Amino acid sequence: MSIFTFSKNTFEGQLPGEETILVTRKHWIFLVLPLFLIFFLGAMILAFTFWISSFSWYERFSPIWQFILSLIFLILWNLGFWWIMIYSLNTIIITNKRIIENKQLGLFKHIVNELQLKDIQDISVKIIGPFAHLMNYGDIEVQSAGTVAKFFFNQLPWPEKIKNVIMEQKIKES
Amino acid sequence: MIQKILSNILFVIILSIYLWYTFAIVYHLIRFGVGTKPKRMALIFFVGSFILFSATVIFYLKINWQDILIAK
Repeated sequence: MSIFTFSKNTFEGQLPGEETILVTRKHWIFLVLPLFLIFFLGAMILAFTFWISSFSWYERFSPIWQFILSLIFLILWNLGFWWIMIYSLNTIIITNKRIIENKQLGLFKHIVNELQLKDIQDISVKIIGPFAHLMNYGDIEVQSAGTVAKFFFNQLPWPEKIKNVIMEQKIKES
Repeated sequence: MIQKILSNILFVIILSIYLWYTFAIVYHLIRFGVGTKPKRMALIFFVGSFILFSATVIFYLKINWQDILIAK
């Protein structure tokens, strides 16, 4: 049961001696928005059930409606956790050697980008718009000396802090 | 008879797709999730899916088709 309470933040493809410094995902607001829509849809269906239950014919059809209702909630539950899975598996991992970006776009669509700390030339943070300032999320752009010239990490929470962590690790590494 | 066989085949196909989908989500969250949160989410999803699936089957079995289809 320790997998639910303790983790060293190990990941697929971790190198020997590589230590995970920070694991971050997109800002939680990008998870909450689709989940709120699903929750709202569920609430509307419940309100609809409450409304139709006042009709005389409901008594006769209530068993079939209860079945349809449970089926709808089962679909909404799965849809909600689909979003949670996509959100959870899209990660940025900062280690003492590199930055790894995991992009999970579907069940069988997984992209991994990585950037060695020694290749980092410049990091800039972009926080655009009042909502982004209010919720403290933004984009990080990393200029690299590697084969890929620029890396973009979008909609991350506290981008300034993440930038500082990367810079600290780069200084330690060099 | 044929209708019953076809409906049973359809039920097995839908059930297989649903079970595979549920397994895929739990597997991805546990196997590829970094940290404890994805593992906890997988547990919540699994328990919730089991409860909702059981409820769906129970409600389906409670339907009296004769009562609904035959006009009174």
